[in-house]
Amino acid sequence: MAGYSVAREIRRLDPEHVIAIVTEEGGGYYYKPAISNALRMKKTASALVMKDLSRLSTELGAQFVVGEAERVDAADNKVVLKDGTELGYENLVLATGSQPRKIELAAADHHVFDVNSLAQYGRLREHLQQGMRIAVIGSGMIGCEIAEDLLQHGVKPLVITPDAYPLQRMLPVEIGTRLETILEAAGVEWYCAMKTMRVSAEGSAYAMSVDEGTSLSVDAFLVAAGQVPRTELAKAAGIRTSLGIVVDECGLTSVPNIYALGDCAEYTSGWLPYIAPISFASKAVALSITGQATKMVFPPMPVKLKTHTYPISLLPPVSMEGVTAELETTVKGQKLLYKESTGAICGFVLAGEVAREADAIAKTMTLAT
Amino acid sequence: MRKTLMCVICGWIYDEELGAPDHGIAPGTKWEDVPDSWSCPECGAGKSDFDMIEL
Repeated sequence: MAGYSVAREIRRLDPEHVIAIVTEEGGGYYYKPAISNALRMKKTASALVMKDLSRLSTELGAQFVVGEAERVDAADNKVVLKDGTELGYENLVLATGSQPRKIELAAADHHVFDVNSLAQYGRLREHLQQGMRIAVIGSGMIGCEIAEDLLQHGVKPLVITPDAYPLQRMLPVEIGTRLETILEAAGVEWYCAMKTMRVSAEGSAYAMSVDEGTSLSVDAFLVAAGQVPRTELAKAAGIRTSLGIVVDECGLTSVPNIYALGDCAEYTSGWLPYIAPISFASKAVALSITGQATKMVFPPMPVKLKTHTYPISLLPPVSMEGVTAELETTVKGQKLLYKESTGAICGFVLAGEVAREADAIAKTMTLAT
Repeated sequence: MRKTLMCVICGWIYDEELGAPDHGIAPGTKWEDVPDSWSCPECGAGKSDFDMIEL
């Protein structure tokens, strides 16, 4: 996504710029967040593709190289692919994304899924059958969204998480437990605050024991235990990484002419593994590459949770210092506003019908700064 | 003539007749009159990332 976005911006600025995109996604461009809603939309993996590579290539005036980069040779300004192909560059953009955090499960590989790519979604969808029971490991954004989506497909989700309630790191307890209750009524089974988990094969299915007590029976596993930035390529090339690939305000890494953005990057304002920042980061990176060093400017960008039975939009405050929180509960949902000592809104969590007010509130915050 | 545009990044659709009332654009607002600073409600892409489509 980030790679496509930068290529579009560069082409807009410079019709002559030579662009080559290395990708493992040979099927074309798709909007990744759509995966966690795809079951509900009754879409197959191929139906999620918005543009195939030949059309993209023509539109962008870019060459697509399907393959995987093995290493970056920064001294010689070239990228070496797994198949031995070498690509020289003047400027290199790392948009390697993130991958699901691995969880050790005593289960056959073909019963363990994630929803981090179109190919993985395709595998999952082909495997799913009405009445199946799927253990969803993790209760973050992806875990919650996919659990709800599985229900739409006639599949029973059992969410297993060490957190006390869903989205514990993003939501206050009042809103998190409300989401839990609403999704439970819809059919999600929750196993929260689980410290241990043991899996053993039982015929063609699996027996799971959580917290040494409760026994569950499941058919397959969906791992949604958080994402990890893909930084191996950068690390091996001697580029500075911390949580992600460290970049400055223009998106430049610690090595000249190498940029990074999207889920693999750690911006000066932190790791922002969401969609909206890509649009702003790609503009700055494209300008910087075409010769006009430009700093990234991120407006307040609400994060939206696509749980249809209880939609949530949130924007955490930049700092909690001197900030007070006010929670208002009405028939239209729950509205938590973070306010500075001056009374100005500096963040929010909106759940239910009020979630649609997110952009309007975020806009007032832009005006205030 | 009523125009419809689609965000090339995420597929979100802007219909002039419907506008985007939750995102600051009143129903009936012509695409030309949508401010350049407006961004896609789904993915944050800019106004220039929208293409005209036929429905």
